[in-house]
Amino acid sequence: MSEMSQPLVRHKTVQKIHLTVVQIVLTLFLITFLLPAIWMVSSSLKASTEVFAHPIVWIPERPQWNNYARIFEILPFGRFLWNTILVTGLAVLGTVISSVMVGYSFARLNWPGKNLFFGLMISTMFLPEIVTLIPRFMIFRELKWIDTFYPLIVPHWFAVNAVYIFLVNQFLRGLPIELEEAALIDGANRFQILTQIIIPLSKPVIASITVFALLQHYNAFIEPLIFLRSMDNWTMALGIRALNDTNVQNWELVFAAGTMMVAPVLLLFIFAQRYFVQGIALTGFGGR
Amino acid sequence: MPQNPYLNVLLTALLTVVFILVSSILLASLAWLLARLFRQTAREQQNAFAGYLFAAPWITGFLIFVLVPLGFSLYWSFTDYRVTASAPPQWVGLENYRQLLLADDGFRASLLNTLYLTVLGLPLQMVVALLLAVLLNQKMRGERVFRMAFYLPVILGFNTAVLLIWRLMLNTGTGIINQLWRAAYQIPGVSELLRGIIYVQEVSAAFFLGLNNRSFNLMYKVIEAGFPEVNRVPLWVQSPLWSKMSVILLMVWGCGAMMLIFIAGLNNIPKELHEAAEVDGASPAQRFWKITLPLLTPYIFYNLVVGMISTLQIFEPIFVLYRDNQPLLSSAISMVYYLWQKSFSHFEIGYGAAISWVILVIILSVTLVQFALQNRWVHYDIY
Repeated sequence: MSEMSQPLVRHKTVQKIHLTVVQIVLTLFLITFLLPAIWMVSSSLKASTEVFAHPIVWIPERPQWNNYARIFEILPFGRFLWNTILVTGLAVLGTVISSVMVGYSFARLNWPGKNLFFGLMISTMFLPEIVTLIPRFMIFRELKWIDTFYPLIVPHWFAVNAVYIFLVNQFLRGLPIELEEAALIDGANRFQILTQIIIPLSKPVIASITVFALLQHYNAFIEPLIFLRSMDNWTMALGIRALNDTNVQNWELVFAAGTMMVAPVLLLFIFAQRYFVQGIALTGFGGR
Repeated sequence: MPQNPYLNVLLTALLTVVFILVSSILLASLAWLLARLFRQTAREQQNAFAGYLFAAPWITGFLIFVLVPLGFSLYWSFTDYRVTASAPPQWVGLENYRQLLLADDGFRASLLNTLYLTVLGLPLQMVVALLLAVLLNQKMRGERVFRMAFYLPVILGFNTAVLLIWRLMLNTGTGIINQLWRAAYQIPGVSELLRGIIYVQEVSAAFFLGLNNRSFNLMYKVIEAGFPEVNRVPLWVQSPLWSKMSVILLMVWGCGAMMLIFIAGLNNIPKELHEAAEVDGASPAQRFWKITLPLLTPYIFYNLVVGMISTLQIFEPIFVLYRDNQPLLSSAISMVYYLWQKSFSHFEIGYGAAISWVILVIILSVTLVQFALQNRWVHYDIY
């Protein structure tokens, strides 16, 4: 025994050193990865002269809190914020309701043609969105929907994002079927089963869809860029891009607007990481 | 009719719901009727009704927002159709495709740039993701914090604001990245390495640009200029030699999603395999190459397929970095960016539709080739 223990002790110290090295390497990576965020937040509080100062100013000498107030004077960011909230809220609501319904149908109900439609649904996940973008634009143009919020909201009430249906489907397949059968024998109809049994049990997956959809619509850029025209209808993402165009002198304002836009995303991520991780685990999609 | 636009939106949402309800009930009734006609049991009729009722939103949405648009875009791709001319589409047969594939230098450049990002950027992204995953797999304290921090760029990267910040960070003179680069020159021994990186990158980028412009003068110039002098910095968003590298940098920064997939893969490797190999005297490097990597191949395959699909569609980073930088745009423009330019800024709808179908065919064939080749290197049998 005593012969064995000595290499074991050595082995442990080697492992300890090894772990420390790994931790140092990871910390270096961590700093690199967080650098943009750190720089953005710190620059948002700088005076004009400090932003590109040499050497780098990390902590502004006198934090310029009124940078945040000044963004609202240059562009109507209050309006952009309301637009973003409205579009995001309605689109997410539609996504959640329709995805749960459709996912339930695919996961739990038996109907003729289901396998065909399921295959079609999966294949739309791999269809580049860009291919349908032009005709969708032309359809919305015919409907006189360009420069309104409708193109950004209405399609999502039809569960057009198959990923969310797939997520619900994967989750519901893991629930025991007996619950539903018992309710059926008791005379409940499918709608009652959905609202009274399935939805209460699916809270985690509903939370997952909600966070991913929130992120998707809040950050959306290409579609607002194409479908929205007048400044009154812009979302935050478009406003920030415009700030870059109109205001090249005052970079600290770009940083402040950026911080303001990213802060909710950051909070969402910190408080709902569980649901992000769960969504990735269920589908294998990394939220791309 | 000056109405409150917010009220209009809510009204439209309501109308949408009504439309969905009506179409769902119609579709479900149709299914029920068919089931009845085919003399199915009462239970089966009910199932058909309920199934179609709940799936109907997606089925109608699929028709309106996917199938019909696909049909239109296929038709337009064979026509000369410009919104500005306000003339109906003119059938031109394969003319759009002929011009696109044989005569359009702009598309050729965008295709080659996108391939550059796919062939160079994607593997780099995957290597960094794998490295981080292996390091995190050591199960040490704070592992969760690290994991979340590395995933954070994926969440933030969707955001225009963060892409804009990158643009400022990459500024040659004042950007933070070059400030750090200059600082690194003070560390002894690092100088040669940094200059070497600059040299290799510039020569290879010049070679690639040469392929694109069919003239290698730039490459000869870069080689003639010789090994970069001390204190040279990368010209990230300033020189065509670096414009694509900046995008690759952004891609590597957003490798967190791939990393999470790799971590899941590493967790699935049975511990006993490593323990047995260790007892047999295998070194950590041997264990990585002989056990970890082969067992990870399904996950590598997955990341490769999904990564290629998304890299071939890259748009936003290039849009934010180079949209108002005309001299650099042609050295960085991607296929989807070119599509956007043609259809939404020149309004050549027919031509744009043809581009989108070429992109679709490229993505589809690349994916199919990967699935066909997977038997050669992906090991599923061990599980």
